[in-house]
Amino acid sequence: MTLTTANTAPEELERIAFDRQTARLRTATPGIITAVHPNGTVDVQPAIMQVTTLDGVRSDEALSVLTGVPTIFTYYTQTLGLSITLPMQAGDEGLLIVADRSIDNWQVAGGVQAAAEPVSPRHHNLTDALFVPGAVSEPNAIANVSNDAIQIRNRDASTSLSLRECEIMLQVGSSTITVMDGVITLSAGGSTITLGGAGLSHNGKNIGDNHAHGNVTPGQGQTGVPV
Amino acid sequence: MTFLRQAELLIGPLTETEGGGPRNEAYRIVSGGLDTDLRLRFSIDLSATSEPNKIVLAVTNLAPERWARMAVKNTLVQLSVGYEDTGLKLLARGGIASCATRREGDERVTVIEALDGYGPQTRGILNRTYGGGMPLKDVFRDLARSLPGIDIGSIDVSGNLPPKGVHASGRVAETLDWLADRYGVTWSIQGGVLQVIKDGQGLPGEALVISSRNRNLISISPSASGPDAAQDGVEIIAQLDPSIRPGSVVSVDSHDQPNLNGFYVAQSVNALGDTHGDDWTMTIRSTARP
Repeated sequence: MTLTTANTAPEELERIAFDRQTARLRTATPGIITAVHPNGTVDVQPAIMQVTTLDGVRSDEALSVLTGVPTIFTYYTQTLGLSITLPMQAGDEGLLIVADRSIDNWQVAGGVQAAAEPVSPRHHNLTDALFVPGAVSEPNAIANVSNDAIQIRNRDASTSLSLRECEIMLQVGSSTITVMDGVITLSAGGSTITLGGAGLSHNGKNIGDNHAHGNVTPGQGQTGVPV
Repeated sequence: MTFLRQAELLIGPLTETEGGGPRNEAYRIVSGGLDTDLRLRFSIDLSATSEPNKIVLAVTNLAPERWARMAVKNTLVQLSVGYEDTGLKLLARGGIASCATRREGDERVTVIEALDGYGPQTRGILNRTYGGGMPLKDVFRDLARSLPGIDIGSIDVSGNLPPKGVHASGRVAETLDWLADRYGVTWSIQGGVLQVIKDGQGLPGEALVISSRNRNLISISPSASGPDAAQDGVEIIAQLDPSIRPGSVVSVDSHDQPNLNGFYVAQSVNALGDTHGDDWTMTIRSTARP
């Protein structure tokens, strides 16, 4: 803490006071989920500790857990009822964004609501945080992020849905389904089926409506069922 | 009445690490204004706001081995004043911020400056989430318990926290300030006791009478200019009475200024005293009780 004396210039005192005041205005900070509730709220442990200095000795202490924090799912059109949801579990990291006024009444009832306090509203307080899942520290960062596709994927990308320009690919391990303009390819266990303008093929062989069989004597008979 | 005035100053207890003396040793200086007593002067600034009360004491011709051992920061000082017939009552209490001895003519004067609740305010740290719907009174009580060495006094606040409760971290004093602003109360530490008063109200209990008839009213005057001066407040100069504290409701009955008679809430009290001189008064700045 900066020391002040009776001789400290007023400008310096103002600067220090302003600095300390702004330090108390909470805006956003990383957090870690400690509990997930059925109503969609989560309990979150702020990830940055509180610093206190007494008698020149600094101590760092974890802030208390924020309870009943609303979750922000970025893609949720409530009027249509469409959303992209994410599973959340204790231990997941994310970002706490602090609303600049108390959100109690809005959170409980929705709609346009008054601030909760009788005299002056709470502002920039961690009590009014909302949680956005997905802001991660480096040890938990997603590796090998595709630079040409939007992906929904697991950690090692062995299971994924990839959207590229003119291509959608669904992958589970070595099995893939790829949809391109005019061509759909299914690949699994070393076999590949391709459907397109050239017809339907399996491992390169035409198995479409115009495929032909060899070693057949021409006549009125039909080939047997596949074996 | 001046010959009946009394003052008692307790310094300590001093622990071995704090003062070098035996554990729980305290110095007690009693002065009734007799030539054989030590001369004790004081100027006490008490306020209903959270700014720590300031205590300035001057003790004349204190033995050197004593003042040297008082120069220990945060050592407790307690000043009680009163009259021979009514007894002593605590006027101010605080931790020593500074102690210095200087010469005044042939005499040696030890000046002690102390602050009421400053130590607990700087050392009170918390980190807690109070749940939605918790009674505000319980929140203030819990905060008071987080101020080391502070007792809980009158907590006049009603209502509950809103549904989300409140997350509190950092200095307890900042959280108290924060809550006070939002719920319309004023908090302060008076003699080591936390008190919370609703804005515009006073401490519970009967009004203390300051009147010309009782001869404890010296003067009263409006403390603000303009036609609403009487409603805004008054400055009262009265005989020293430690019962009158910030937040006290006083009833003023003046022969000279009857237009100002009424009930007021003391917002600040400056007490001046000299066991061997004329000073033995208090200046009370107050606002009209609605």
